[in-house]
Amino acid sequence: MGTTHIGTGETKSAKTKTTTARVLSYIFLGFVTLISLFPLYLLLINSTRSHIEINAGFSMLPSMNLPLNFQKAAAGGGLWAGLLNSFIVATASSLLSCYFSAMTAYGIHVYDFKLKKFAFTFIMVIMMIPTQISAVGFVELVYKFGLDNTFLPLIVPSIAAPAVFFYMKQYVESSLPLEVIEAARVDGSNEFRTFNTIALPMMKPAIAVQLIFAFTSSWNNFFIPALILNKPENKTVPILISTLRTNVASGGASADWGMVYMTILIAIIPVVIVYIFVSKHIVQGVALGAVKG
Amino acid sequence: MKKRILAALVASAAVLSLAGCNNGGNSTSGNTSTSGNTSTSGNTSTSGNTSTDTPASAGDNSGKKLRIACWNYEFAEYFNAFYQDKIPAGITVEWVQFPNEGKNYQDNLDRLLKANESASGDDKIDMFLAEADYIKKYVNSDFSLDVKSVGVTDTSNSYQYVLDAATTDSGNVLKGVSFQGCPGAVIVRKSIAKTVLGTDDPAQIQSKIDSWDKFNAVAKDAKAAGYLMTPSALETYRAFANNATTSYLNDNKFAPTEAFNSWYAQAKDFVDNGYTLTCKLWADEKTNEMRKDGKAMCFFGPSWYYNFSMSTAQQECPGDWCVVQGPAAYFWGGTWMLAAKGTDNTELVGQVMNAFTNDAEVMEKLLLGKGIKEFSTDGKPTDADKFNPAFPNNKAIVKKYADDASYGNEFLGGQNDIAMMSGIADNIKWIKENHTVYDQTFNEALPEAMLESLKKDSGVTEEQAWNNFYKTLAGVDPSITH
Amino acid sequence: MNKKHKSVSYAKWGYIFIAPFFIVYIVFSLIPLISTFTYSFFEYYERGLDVVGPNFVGFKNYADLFDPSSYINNGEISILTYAGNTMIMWIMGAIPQLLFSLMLAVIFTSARLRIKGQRFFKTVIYMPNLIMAAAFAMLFFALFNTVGPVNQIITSMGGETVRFFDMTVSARTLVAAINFIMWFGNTTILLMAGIMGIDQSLFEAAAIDGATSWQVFYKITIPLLMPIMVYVAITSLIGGLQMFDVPQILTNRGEPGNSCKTLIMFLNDYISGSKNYGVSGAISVLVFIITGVLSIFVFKTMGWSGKKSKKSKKGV
Repeated sequence: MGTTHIGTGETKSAKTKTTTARVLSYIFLGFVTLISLFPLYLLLINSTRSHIEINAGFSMLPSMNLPLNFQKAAAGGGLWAGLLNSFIVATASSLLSCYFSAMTAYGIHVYDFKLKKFAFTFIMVIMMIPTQISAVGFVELVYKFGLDNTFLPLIVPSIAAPAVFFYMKQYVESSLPLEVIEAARVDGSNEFRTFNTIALPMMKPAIAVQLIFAFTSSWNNFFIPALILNKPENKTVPILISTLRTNVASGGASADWGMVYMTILIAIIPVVIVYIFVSKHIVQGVALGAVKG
Repeated sequence: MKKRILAALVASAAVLSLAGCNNGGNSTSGNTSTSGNTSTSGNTSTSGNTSTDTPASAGDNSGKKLRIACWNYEFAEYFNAFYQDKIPAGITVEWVQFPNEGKNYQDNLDRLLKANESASGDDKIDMFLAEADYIKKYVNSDFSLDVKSVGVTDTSNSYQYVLDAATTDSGNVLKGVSFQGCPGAVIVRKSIAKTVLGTDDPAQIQSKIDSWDKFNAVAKDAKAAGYLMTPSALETYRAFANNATTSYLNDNKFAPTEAFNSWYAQAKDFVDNGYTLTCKLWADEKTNEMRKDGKAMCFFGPSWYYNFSMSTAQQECPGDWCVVQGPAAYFWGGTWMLAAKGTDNTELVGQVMNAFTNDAEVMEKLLLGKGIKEFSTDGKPTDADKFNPAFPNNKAIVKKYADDASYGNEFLGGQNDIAMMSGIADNIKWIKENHTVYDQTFNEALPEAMLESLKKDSGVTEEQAWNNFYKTLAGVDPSITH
Repeated sequence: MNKKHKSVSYAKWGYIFIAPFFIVYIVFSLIPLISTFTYSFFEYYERGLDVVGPNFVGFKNYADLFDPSSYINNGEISILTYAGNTMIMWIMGAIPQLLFSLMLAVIFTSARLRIKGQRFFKTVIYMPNLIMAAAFAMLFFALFNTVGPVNQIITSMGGETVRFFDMTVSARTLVAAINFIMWFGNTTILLMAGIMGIDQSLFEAAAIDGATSWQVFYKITIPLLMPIMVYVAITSLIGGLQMFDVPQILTNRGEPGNSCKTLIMFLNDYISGSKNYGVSGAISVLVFIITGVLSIFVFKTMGWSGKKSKKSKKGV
């Protein structure tokens, strides 16, 4: 962010303009912050309220039930096991998805080969196919291979993520000059090493971005996991939340809304941590960008 | 918006269903009549299943695990509290739970049942649970067993409608039993009844709303006194629909029944005159009418409804309520136990079914609802106590408490609700011709679609509402005409 | 120029690098996909636990989808109506989303503004995306229903209760608003990463030449950001056309009437209802075609081609 500096020769009027722009920017940022935190606030409020209070209607003010809701949500080992399962799946699948998408994008960007154009067009086309469609047959396949109740079908397919590829491709197009690759070759680096040690670091901002998105999407994924995981010990968080939620919604006595919202809130925390951890690298990319020029 | 992420979110709402069609090429072709709503003897339903009757691979683990498919742990909690200690040593109980989001439970269950005979001992489903709205699908299929074959022979304590719901359309084979009954009552706000009807005595209230004509007339009085007759136009739907004299589906052609038309006429009248609201059954707007300053006089629901779903009323105005039979006997909800074809635990499944229908001790504990430990999402009991009484599907136990003058429900001001619900349960009719595998669609999607035409702001006409419903129907089964 | 010697000896590496992607895609997606598309020419669905079909019916499913009097349509061509609903709700959310994101990205990356607390803001804008869409929709439903806080405020100020979910305009607006809130953070991050990938020396050079911020924005940022902008536009379009869970939960499957029903909700009616592989296959082929056509349109209007950005870079 602060790597470039506008020259020291700013005029007075330019300075006032900058100050005005800065003030307006902060006002805008304040507004955006409000919008962004509002849903989270609602979630937080609800996780402090009891089932009865939530049933009685919505309120903007917190109540006293936070500890009790937490206690209920954490009762038994279900939630913690679920968080761990989700973490394993989301971490593995987002890493695979980013690494192989970057690799594919690199392959198409750097090399010239007969099927290059076809490969690119093909991926662009499959990106437009509604994902729901292949999902149906995919689950059939999982059972045929006997992979139900394992994490593999949730992890391995992330290697082929057209949208992640597309982003990587767009990114390398504007930020990975072929001259750098050439230079590495002259230095005697083999192709894999060039990719891993030179290209990949230059793609860090793009990888960081997609890593976060892929992690979040995997973390919140309900549909496929719900069809292939049915042992209590390997369920992921969205399945647990769905269980709790549908219990309440169907009028059963087994769960309460306060606990449901608390669980949803707890489920967000690991993603926030991952986000804060990874988002550093989006910033770090700037330095690298400056180097390559 | 990133496709992958959206797609995952899309998925998170849980809707797509999975390929139930097996790889086998022997699916019934064309429009064969299904066992769902015609009287063919459940034989076309074994799509993709070879008809070997011998368990394919029992293996060494045969019978070591009792696996029960369910959508939540409510029954598991009862089971754990009242029956777990009777499970023979060496056998573990496993709850195969799928959240009932969309049709997720049924989709998973269907797949497991179709593979059940060839599954290894550890992976076989022995018993599964089903709800009233889709029980027909499983009862009329070959994937459930005659309860007699697992040793359930005495069903004399069960309510007739509970048995009828689990009896095959052809051949009168009983395929499932239930531990509970869900007779529906009219839950009356006594203070409002006092103003509108001049009485808060259940028997007197009942005498003033014991037919739809009387009920509709009282609605006018309620309005005049500044109250609502019901909190939602959908409130009375099941009370009408359960008492339909004809089926909504004849030769696969849909036509609204007379019962439906009566409901719609009432709903329209009630909405137009301000006797009720246009909200849905689980809407906050309806819950709002349960509050201290709520205006609605009559809520419709079974015991689980007033015991749990009316928590707002329990909090704000307990004791101000009573239950009466109202204009028509009906039921809402219910959980049945079915034995899965291919089970390697026949005997034990039969024992469980017997215990949860005939064992006086178990059934009494169910009625009292005490000593239950809440389950965690990992399918194991926690330390938390849970109070969860059910209306047991056992006439003897019900009679015992119905006759017990000291028994009363606090929320209902000490009224003996068991006595009241018992009377309703005896009068519920399950006319099998009037129920199909599509009950859920016709009990929920249909009235909700028609409700649209009653909403002032929606701009949906009655004709459009019908068209919208027919579009829904086309997705449910393309072969249904109208 | 340098392409020549590159292509001679390294072609096989291209195949090696893209192999994992294609192998995994073919195994896990393409094979099931082909069968799905094939089924669009069949009558193939389930009734209860029975299976009807597959019986070859040619283009019947497609014909039914476009025949206003067919059992699917009941008086209109539903798929066009739903495509219209989807586009309207997408545009209502996407336009503010893009504007906000662009502004935020520029603010965050501007060296001149030197915004403090960037980490905080960047974290905050992504938060809404972490809440599951189902929970998001539930919260908004509670907020805007007839007895929710919004209506409490309206009535306390003497207004009439507003039935947000009974009216087409407000229901669609709420769907669009949720999508906007959920996704503008993502778009901002994408654009930000894109801007950061731009050679910083260009900005420095522009500053030395005395360019104004608008000039820098139009002449440097936007053109060099074009590949990422195309990405954002295309994926937003694709994501928008696949809009499903928010309207499904918020509007109870598309109410009022079917005015909030989207293409994928339509598709879902056939998949979750009767596992109708025939009709759902046909719908998905059509959704695919619609997506493709619109994407090409976006590509064209945004002056796509990866080469363009390269050229502009070389030109510097």
